[in-house]
Amino acid sequence: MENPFERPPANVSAALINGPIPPYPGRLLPVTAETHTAERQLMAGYGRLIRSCDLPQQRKLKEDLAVELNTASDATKVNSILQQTLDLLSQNKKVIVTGDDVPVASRILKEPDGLPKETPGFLSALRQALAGQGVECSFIQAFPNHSEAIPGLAAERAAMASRNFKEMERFVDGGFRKNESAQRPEVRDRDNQPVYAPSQTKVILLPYRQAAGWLELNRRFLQPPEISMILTPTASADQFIQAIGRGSRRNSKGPTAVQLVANDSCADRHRLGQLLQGLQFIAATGSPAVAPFLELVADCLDRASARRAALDQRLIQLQKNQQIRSARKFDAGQSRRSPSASGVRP
Amino acid sequence: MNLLEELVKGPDFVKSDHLSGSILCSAPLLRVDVWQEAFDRYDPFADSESSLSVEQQQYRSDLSVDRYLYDTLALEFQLLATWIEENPNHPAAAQVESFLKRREQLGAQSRIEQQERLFLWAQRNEPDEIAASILGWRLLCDDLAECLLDWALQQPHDLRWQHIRLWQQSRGFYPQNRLRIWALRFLEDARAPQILAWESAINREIFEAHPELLTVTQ
Repeated sequence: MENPFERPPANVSAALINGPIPPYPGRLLPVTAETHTAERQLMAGYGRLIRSCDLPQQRKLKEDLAVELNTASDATKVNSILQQTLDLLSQNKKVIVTGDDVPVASRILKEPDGLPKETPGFLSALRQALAGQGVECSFIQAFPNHSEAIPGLAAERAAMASRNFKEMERFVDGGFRKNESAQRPEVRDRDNQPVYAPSQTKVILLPYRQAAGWLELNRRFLQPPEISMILTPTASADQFIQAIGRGSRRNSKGPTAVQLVANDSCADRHRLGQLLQGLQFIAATGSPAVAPFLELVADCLDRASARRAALDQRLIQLQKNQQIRSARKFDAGQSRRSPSASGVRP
Repeated sequence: MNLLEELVKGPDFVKSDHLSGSILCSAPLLRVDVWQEAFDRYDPFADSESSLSVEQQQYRSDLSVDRYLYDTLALEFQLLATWIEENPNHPAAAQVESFLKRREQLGAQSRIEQQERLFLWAQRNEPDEIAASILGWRLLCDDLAECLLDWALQQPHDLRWQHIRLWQQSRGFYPQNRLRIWALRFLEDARAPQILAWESAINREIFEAHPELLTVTQ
């Protein structure tokens, strides 16, 4: 992987030199009681499955549980991120949304007809929602797992890469042409300066697994609109930093706004916890540009944990109140019944 | 610890390095340390092709290490088989004989190549139960291989470490290959029997439901 800190986001490096680090906002979305219940059902269901099978299957189920929880948690963010994207577009900004795109047919949750509950991948769902609003976006597909290593997957990967390049081509500003060797050199003017041409799409959906690379985003012009990055949580600090790195190679001058969108689900708190650990490790190895993102993730995790603790506290209090009420009713019932029940006349 | 962390925490496999018997050291009998020589002779760049990506080169290198470990154990078996014919009354003969009984379990080298076929099939057929077993088996072996490597780095003089030295440069894309060879060589180690048991169970499952996936080596 390339080092995204070769050229950190302009406003971060400026802040590190000139003054305090600018705050990057973390957005904590609400989670409905139904979502919390579904999450508990998933964990309980997987717990039962894990206890009933052998070690190899257990190991896979643990992976699948994390995937299923993450997809379920991200699904609750689609509407908010859709609105946010539409707002940004109305401010003449371009948007890079980075997240996962793993569809799930649940092992535990069922539809009313008894079939497994299906949840589309986050980016695919967002793409559909954007299309519903008439917004065309560039969509980068994630390559099959390990396709970079296994020769047997090379052809599938190459076909996908070709489609992805076309999608990226639609998103970046600047002119490109194809030469005979299928490379895509940029179009330059008589002074050998890159020719500016506005992009066809203003939104790109980028899976974390495909966040690295994209030298196209390095080309910079004065004319393009500002870029906003919206990220959902990932457990991998490497992937997160690679994605943030796209902000520094963002095909435009001027600041890039970075926003992390999370909620207080178990899945997000788990991912944020892992991400924080990874970023702390990177920071400890001497990468000062990580600092604002470390703060961002720590803040998001703190707020998510605090909100969840408050919710749990409320639930506990509610349960206690119910128990007290039930006990009172029981006592009242007992005292009303007790004379006859005991057979003692008052 | 919350419920999720409890559920996803590391697998509960045997991690003890306890020995149930003494490990056969073939070097004094054969007057050659087969494993040391193999390690000294190993050329990581023998099959390298500069036209391939780094990831593809690593993948090939992983498989090449697996084959190399397989060949070395096969050679050790062969040399010991010759040795016992010549030294039937040697005090170590009983231990060597017992060790040679594992030779049959080594199987054909094509088992190593078979892993790619199984893996690709499993990736394409999720969430099939057997696909989950195959993918989970690989992940589980990866966890155990990592655990073994960590252990070995602290035991540089242990005979069991000799095999693991090559893992440092090549983590193994299909770690079950090298784990099986290690387990056969050091069956006395408490961690070894589970490796062979996982493989037997998976093979049984595959053979019952999708025998065509195993026909290459049957």
